[in-house]
Amino acid sequence: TTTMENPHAERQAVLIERIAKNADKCTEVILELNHCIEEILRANAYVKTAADLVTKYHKNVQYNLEATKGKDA
Amino acid sequence: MPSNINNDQSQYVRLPTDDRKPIKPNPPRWEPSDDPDAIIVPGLDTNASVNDQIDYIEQLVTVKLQNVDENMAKIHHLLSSRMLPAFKNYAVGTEPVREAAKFWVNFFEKAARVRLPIYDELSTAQEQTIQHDQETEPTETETETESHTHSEGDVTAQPDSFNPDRTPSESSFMPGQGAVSSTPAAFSRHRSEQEHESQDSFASQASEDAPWARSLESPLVRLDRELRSLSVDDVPPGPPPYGEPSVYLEPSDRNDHSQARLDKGKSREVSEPLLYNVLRSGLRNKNEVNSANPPSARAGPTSPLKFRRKPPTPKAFNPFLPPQTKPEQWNGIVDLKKTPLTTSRHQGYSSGLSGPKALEEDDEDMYPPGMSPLTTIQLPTIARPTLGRSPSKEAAKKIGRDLISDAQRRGGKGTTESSLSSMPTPPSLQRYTRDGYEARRGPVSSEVSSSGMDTSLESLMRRVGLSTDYQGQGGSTTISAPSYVPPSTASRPVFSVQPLHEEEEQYYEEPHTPEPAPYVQDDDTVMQGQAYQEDLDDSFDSFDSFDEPEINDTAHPSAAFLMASSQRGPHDLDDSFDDSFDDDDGDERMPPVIPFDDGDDWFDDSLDDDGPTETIFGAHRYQGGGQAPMQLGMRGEQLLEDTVGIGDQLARAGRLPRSPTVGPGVEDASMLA
Repeated sequence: TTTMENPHAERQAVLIERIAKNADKCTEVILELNHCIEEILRANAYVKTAADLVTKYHKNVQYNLEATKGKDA
Repeated sequence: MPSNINNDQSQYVRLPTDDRKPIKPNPPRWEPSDDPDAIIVPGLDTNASVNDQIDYIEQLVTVKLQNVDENMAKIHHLLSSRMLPAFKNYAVGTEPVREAAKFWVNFFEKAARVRLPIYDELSTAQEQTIQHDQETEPTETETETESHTHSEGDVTAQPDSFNPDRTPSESSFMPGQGAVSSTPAAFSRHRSEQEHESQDSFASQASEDAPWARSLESPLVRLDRELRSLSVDDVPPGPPPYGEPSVYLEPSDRNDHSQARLDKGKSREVSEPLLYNVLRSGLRNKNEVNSANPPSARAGPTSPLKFRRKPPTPKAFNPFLPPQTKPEQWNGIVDLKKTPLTTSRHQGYSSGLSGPKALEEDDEDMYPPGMSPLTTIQLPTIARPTLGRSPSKEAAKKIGRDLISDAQRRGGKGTTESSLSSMPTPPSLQRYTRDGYEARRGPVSSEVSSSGMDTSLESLMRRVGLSTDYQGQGGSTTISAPSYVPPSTASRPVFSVQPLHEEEEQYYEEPHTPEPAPYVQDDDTVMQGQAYQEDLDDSFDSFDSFDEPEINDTAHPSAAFLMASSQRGPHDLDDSFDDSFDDDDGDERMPPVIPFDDGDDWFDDSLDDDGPTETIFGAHRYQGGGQAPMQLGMRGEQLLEDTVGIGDQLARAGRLPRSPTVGPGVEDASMLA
């Protein structure tokens, strides 16, 4: 025998089902996004390395230049 | 993480203006209370019957569920429609940056001869270092870092370059990082971090925040930090101030090193201590060094940074000190021409030996203080083959190889232009390129020759027929096995005389086409609009269909061949097909061999061999006599003349053709130039 809550419960069940489905899809999208970001991150780390290298090189060169200049002068 | 990055580099990066609506903060969460009596449901009519209230509540629940569902759908929609593409576009857009960074990292790697571990290599490095033995050190840091490394290890890693000659532990064996941290450096680093509240780079901040953030920082930053930490504790020797990582350099005291110099020579930070240790083996604390100092390429897990303890030689013994300077004042700059070993002899030495005796025992005793006897040092070596190969040399080799393969391939199939240059060739030069030639062939082949060309066609065919004789082996084969008719080849004034079989294949069909219309420069101009790239990149077929509607009365190969005499210039530009070129043949008959720069082959079919009597320009054109086999000329010469002096030649030939491009000022063969 159906109880009074049935109509509510039924409707709510349907809604919950939809919610769960959406949540799943969202999860997948977020996972994809994560992968994307991860790749970007990897690339960025590389870029950061390169930038650091260049910076250090620049600093060193500057220092050495000054040192050399000082020595010559 | 993004916020960290921004904080660190705010001076370099301008944040984009944030003109989005501010996000409303979430409404306060509803905390379910334990006491049912205390639950307040807004809107509930407490006076109604219980069932009604229940219904009402149920409805509220339903509505809330609906909202939740709607929000989830919205989220999903937003994510997939805006976020994901945005990220992907970003990734695609920054691809060039990545390539550049990769290039420069390689550049620096090769310059310093060190392999820079990148993010991905950490995980693999971890696994290897963990297996190695550890020095007796507090394991607390070890466990701490290990736990961190596990998360890093989850990341699937594809190490860029693995240098088998260097153990991963060397480079990635950073104290405090995933590397097994049984080094005093790690210890001191932790200490220093605790003292100094972390360093500047965001990575160091991140390292406290999340395990994976540790891997974000570049290895150089780690090295840097490490060195700084070491400098806090004791004076690290640091790399020598001068340029080359010379083997001989004795890293004596460098107390007044600046921070910048500490970092100089990214590789030297790793290799110098090793050298340092080896050279100082005589002076160092035996227990420290000997136990943990395997020479050269350390198969063991010990980190070179381990040995950065107090400098074993006091400052005063600095052999590089210029005379009469205080050791503290030494600025680290050394004249490499005078090394301690060479100068010590002249200066006389307190070795306790008399003059002649000292000379005899030069090698052994005349060491400046603080320098151990010369020993053969096994320096950490990287793959030797790479030493001599600078990227530029390798690039040059590659280019050479490409050229060679191009030449070979062109002989084989000439369907694609394997040019090293990715730039589209201007129309004036397109005839010299194989692809352009091929591309033009397609559409033209379908054309029907105008009536006027019949005679020339016949002559052409005859010529070709005759030419095959001259061609000999080459011609017969080509005629028999032409791939297709390249009608547009007529436009190509350039061709090589040598009857290369392969090359002739495609072009040779021309004589058979019933369209001996002279090649019209229309081809070039028309095709200009279509993007030169098509010439270079598209296959013949694709271009064929593409071009068909546009090219109408292009010249036909025969004409081009006929151009054995290289009268091609004028004909190329001719708008209208006209036979007149037969007569108008310039007096300047360019040598039939019109070499291609890139080697090829176009028309070998040899127009050159019109036969002594028949030419498209009329019979007995070649009154010069049996010049059937065209004289071979310098390959580039023709092209040179073509491009450089074509205008003059044309003028001389009296055949300044009308440029197909109709327009003011376009009158002569300037297009060719």
